[in-house]
Formats: sequence, structure tokens, C-alpha cells
Amino acid sequence: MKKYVLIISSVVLLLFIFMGYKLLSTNQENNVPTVKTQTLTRNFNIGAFLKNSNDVVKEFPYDKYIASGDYQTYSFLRNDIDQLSNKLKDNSTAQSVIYEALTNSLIKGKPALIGSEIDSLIVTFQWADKFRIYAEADSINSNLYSAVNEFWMSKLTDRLVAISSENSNIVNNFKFRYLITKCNEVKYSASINNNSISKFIQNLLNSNWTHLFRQTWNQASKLQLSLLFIIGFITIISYSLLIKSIIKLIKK
Amino acid sequence: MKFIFSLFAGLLFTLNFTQAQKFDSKYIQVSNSLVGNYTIGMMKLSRKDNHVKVKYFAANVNGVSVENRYKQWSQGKNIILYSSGTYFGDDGNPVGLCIDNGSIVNNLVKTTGFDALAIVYATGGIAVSDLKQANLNIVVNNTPTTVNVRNPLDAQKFKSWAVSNSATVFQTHLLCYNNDLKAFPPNGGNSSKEASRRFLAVCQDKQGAIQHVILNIKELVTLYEGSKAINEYLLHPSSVFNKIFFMINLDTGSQDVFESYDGNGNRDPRKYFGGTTPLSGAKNLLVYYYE
Repeated sequence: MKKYVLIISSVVLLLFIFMGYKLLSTNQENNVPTVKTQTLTRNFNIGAFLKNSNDVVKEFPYDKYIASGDYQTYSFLRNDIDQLSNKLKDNSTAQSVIYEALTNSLIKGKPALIGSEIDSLIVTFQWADKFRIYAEADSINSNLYSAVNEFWMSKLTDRLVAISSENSNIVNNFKFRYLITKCNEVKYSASINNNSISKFIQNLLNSNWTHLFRQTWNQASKLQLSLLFIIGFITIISYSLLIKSIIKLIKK
Repeated sequence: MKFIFSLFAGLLFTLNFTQAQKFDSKYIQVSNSLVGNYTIGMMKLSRKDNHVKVKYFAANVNGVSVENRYKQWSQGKNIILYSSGTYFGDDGNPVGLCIDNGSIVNNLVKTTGFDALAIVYATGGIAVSDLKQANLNIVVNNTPTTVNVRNPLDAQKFKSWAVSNSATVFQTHLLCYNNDLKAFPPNGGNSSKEASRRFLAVCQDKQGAIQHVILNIKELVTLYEGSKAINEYLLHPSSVFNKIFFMINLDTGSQDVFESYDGNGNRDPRKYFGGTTPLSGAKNLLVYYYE
């Protein structure tokens, strides 16, 4: 009997050690990166390009435009759209050119924007989120800005799903959860499915004791609950036996 | 005295009339059918004369749960059935693009799988577009426009249209479109998971009338096997239908909410016409009602 009690209490102890390890191994570092605002100089001369081009859509130098970094400054970007619109006499086509530059060309030129580092993904989110605000401020080009925002949010959430599939523990990391929350705030839900251990740890970190108890109670089958009670009962017995023997030893 | 009695009787009659559910059963046919190896609970809802209508609750809104939104809305309405709608993630948000009565719930258009974009109109109709075909027609500034919702530039036009038309939109698995089976065998993309299933098919019968069909499979079956069996059944020469406009999947996993009622408002207790999750567990809800 004592042998079985010892085995079960060892298993319970190992389970606690495992959960403790899982809990301690989650990265709770919370220094979220921020992008410093700085004044950038104009590098791409769109006026010269438009003057010399016969077919703006076909000849637009996407690589040069991305390399210039001009798209990072709102006033430059707005000026480029306006100049393209004037030349093409069509705002919709001008928007398509800039959309292509700021999405497919940019991701081709800078694949690290959607890399594996959570810090760089947070920076990408902060950059992409600016376009959501531009869309609210500039009604003429709001379609373009919302589309650029959607493109990057879609890539970002896909990446988060892929990262969480490769490493299920990452969903408990502070920065990962921060990014998921920021995405949810702007109504881009990544729909990441957590495994049971991750859900348990997240509720533990958030001190959702009532939820934890309710979920355990509701989700467990009758057999699981019976096993839990038996293990709990044996654990209590074994620990009381252990305490009893320690007290006996002290008394001796 | 006679007057008071008549008034009282009249009041009782009126109260009884407004409280009891009433709908003409000729628009609703309920049956059990053996389809291949599966017994299927089938509800055929005729859209003839525009009495049968659809409503979709996509999510909790301003802290009000789907259950409470439904209870508030359904007062005085003749409910035919309600069922859980599309899938949702662990965060409780619906998977894929979702708009509730013109209000954005999830902006993220799912670009793989979930090829059905369902649009529930405020007038009680429902339409489904195959996102792979990229040819959804909407009217923008009085101009008919074809949009590819999976292209972010077009998606903005569609979202603006949905918001200004108070449309309700959700994404789900497309199982059949214009008679073609769209579900894939497990090795071709769809899950190999066997589960009970519930589908919504919108079909045309041989008299040319449109019927919405809810098909409930209690046996465990893959999405592909279930869709294939039902597709063949609905288009069999002996079937009353000659066209399936579309067939979409309704969630029976985390939420298996389903209740149906007869013309007198009595809940159908048979297992093929009910789900396993109570209404309180609904994350979204597709409702058919009679008006």
C-alpha cells in the first residue's frame, strides 16, 4: 500500500514540477519596442520619373521607390499619390500603383518585416496601424490606406498563427499576447487555437481562478473527475502519512 | 356586463394569438431521410411568398451576448429554428471576415479555406459567394461593380458597401456551389476529423421555387463524406430539387446549438432536430423565422 502511495505522490509531485517549469519558462519580458519619429529626407524624385515616363504603370520603379524609404513619411506619400493621380488623370490607378509598391514590392524587398522575431512583428504592426489612421484622416485615399493596412494585418496574423503552430509555448509570452491583443483591438482576430496547457497557464497568469475551476469541472468527464478525486484523496493520505512519520522522527 | 365579458374574451384571444407561434406548415417540411449510411434530419423551408426569413447574430455586441440579443429580438416572432453559424477561435471571435448588421466584428478575410462568403440581408434573404471565383457583384455609387474580396483593395469597397447597407456577413466552408461539390477529401485540404455535421443548402425545386434546406447529420462523418452524400442525394433524379445554388457548413463543434419548432411553437424533441449545446453557449446564431 505504502509503495502505491509513494508512486502516486511522486507522480503528483512531478506534475507540479512540470507545471511550475512551464509557468516559469514563459517569457514575461514586457519592454515593447517603439519606433522613434524622425524627419527623413526626400530620396526619390517622382517628378523627374513622371516627366520622362511614357507608361507610368508599367515603368514605375518599385524597387527604387522602396529603397528610397520615402513611403515612411506621410507628406511624401501623399505627394506621390497626388502627382501620380495628376499624371494618370485617374486616382484609382494611382492608388493601385502605390498599393503594389507598399505591399507586394515592399514584402519582396524587406521580407524581415514579417519575420519570426516578435519585436520586429510589433514594429510592423505599429507601422501598418498608421495606415488605419491615415484612412480615417484622408477620405480621398482611404481605400488605398485601408487596403495597405489590411494586407499587412493579414500577413501579420498569418505569421502569428504559423509561429504558434511551430511553438505552442510562445502563446504565453507577454509580447506575443500583447501583439494578439493589439490585433484584436483593431478587429483583426488571428483566431489562434491554444492547447489545454497554454489555456491553463494563461488563466493562471491572469489569476482567473473561478474560470479555471469552472472549466476543469465542466470539461472533465465523470471518469476524469473520479480519478481526480481518487488521486487527490491518496495524495492527502500520503502527505498526512509523511507528516506523521516526520513528527515521529522529530519526537524520537 | 355582456360588454365587459366580450372585451375580456377578446383580450384573452388577442394575448393568446400574439403569444403562440403561428406559421403555415405548407412552407416548412420536416423529415428524416436515409442518405447513404446516414440518417439525416431535414427541414425544407420554402421562400415562396417571402414568409420564411433569415436573421444572423454574428457576435456579442456591446457586452450583450448572442443569447440575450436573440431573446430580445425574437419576442413576438414566429421562430422556425435556430442553429449555430460559423466557427470561432479561442478568443471568442469569429473566424474570417464578419460583419454584424453593418458593424465590423472581424476585418480579417480568410484567404485559404472558408471559401463561402455568406451575406444575410436586412430583408431576410441570404446569398453566398464563392470567394475563389472572385466575382461578387455589388452596387457602389449606383454602379454595378464586381469585387474580389480576397484582394485588399476590393475588400474595402465590399466592407464599405456592407456597412452602408447594414448587411451581415460571415465566412465558412463552401461545400457545394452551383451543383459542384466544393468540399475536398481529407488529403486534398479538408479535415479528416469525423464529427456530427449540419449544413445549409439553398436549392431550387423542379417547380422553380427556392427552398432553404437544413440538414442535420448525427453520425460521425468527415466534412467531405457528409457533403458528397448530401450533394448526391439532393441532386438525385428522384429528388424534388434540380439545382443546389450553394451548400455551406454550420458549426457543430465547440457550439452545437440547434432547436426547431413546429407551427404551434412546440420544440421538436427528436434528436435529429436538436443540438447538444444550450442557447447560452451560442457564439453566433442563424435564425429562421416566419413573418
